[in-house]
Amino acid sequence: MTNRRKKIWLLLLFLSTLFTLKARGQITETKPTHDPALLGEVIEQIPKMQMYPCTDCHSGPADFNTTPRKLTQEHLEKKIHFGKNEPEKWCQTCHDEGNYLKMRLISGKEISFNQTYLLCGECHGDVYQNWLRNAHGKQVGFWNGPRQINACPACHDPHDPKFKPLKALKMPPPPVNNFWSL
Amino acid sequence: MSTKEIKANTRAGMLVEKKLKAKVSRRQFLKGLAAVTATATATGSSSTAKAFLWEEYFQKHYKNLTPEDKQKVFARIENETKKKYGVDVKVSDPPPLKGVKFAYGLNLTKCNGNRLCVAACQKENNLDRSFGYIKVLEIDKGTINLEKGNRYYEGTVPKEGKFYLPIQCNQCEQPPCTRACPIQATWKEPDGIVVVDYDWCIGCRYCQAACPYEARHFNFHTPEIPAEEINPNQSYLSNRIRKRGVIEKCTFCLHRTRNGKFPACLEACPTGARKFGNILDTNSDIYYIMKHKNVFVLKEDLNTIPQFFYYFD
Repeated sequence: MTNRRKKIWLLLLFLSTLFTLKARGQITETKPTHDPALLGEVIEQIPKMQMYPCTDCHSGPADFNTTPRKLTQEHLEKKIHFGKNEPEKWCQTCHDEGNYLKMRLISGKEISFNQTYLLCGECHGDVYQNWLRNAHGKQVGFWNGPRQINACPACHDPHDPKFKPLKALKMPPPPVNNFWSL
Repeated sequence: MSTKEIKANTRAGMLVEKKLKAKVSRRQFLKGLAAVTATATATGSSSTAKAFLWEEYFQKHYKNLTPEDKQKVFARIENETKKKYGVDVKVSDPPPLKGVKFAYGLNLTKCNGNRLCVAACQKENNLDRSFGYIKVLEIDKGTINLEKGNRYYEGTVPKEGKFYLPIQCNQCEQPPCTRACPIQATWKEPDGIVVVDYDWCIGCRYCQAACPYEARHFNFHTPEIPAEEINPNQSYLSNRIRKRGVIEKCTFCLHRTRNGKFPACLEACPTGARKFGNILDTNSDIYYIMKHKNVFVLKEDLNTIPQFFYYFD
């Protein structure tokens, strides 16, 4: 009997250590809160954009010119899809005026660069709904593992989001019958 | 085959014919048999590189191989590849996962026909570079006649008024190809993938004729693969280097997908048109797509029940 009790105690001890270990793991894994509607973890964009922090040039609200105009100095490469046919739209439509490390929803709520899908989803609702269910966008990671989701800027240029035409790779040539031309 | 060998062969043939015409006693026959076996063994052991290998010739069907047999077979394949290409490869055999049935979805609205999938497939599966498992058809919008699709389009894609429909093995639920095989060298695995035992295949090409999707390819010549582009992560049933005279086909990259990865074509696609997953898992992406999109399959009237679904968004 004592042997059996010993075994039970040992098992209990083992389980309790397991639980404490798991709890510790959870504490260290604290992440910024995600949209509960999401199925998985959205791959963060901020680590990809450390090269050119906006704050290098724009330090305060005074550096933010909100009048639509032709860009001649910097941002020349930005085609500004949003300003093309809608002249009332300009940088501040999406970028937070004054705080260059944040984006802004139509409601005025500040969001991080990691959550730009909220901003895109405000206008592109049908795409957003598909994206939430992982039906839009490229699958990444593992099909049976924890889901990873590509954010919109992973594939679309945020300033010119339409997918560009590509040059098709060459198809292997049609098979030729060499049998009779020996 | 050199002229010397051909000559020798024809001479042997003549001798055999002569012998066949003559009456043979039991004793003589046995003597001859012993002699033939002896010479065959001698040639087999002396020129192993060129002639067929005994191990390979007497190898059992894949399903009858014990784990030890498999290890020997994999070692043999690795050795052969090392000899021929000078590349160290690892041949494995991931088993089908329980409770998993693979299905593929392809969003035709998103596909722009850039053929990156074709190239990725060639590299991943060690294909001869003269063909691809995936064939992309360029079809006029508003029609879906596969016969009129252009397979050899070039230039910038997508073109005005066209859509692109990639075709590869549909991994049918009722595959006509496996039924056509006279020796069961091709079969359907529990996870839905139709595979070929390349060592068991006799190259009769019945399955190729039976397939309505042109999914199978016959190696009329030994595949030519650049040695530096050989994928060392190989599997017995999928992407190990094929030999001349056997059938091969798309296996949804089972050496990847049975380990949780996505197929190479999906990873290469920049548009996100390809969707892959476990159709039995109600939380999977492919399950959602099947439930909420208007999916269709090719040649539904043939009742092959493909597991490759197309849809427009």
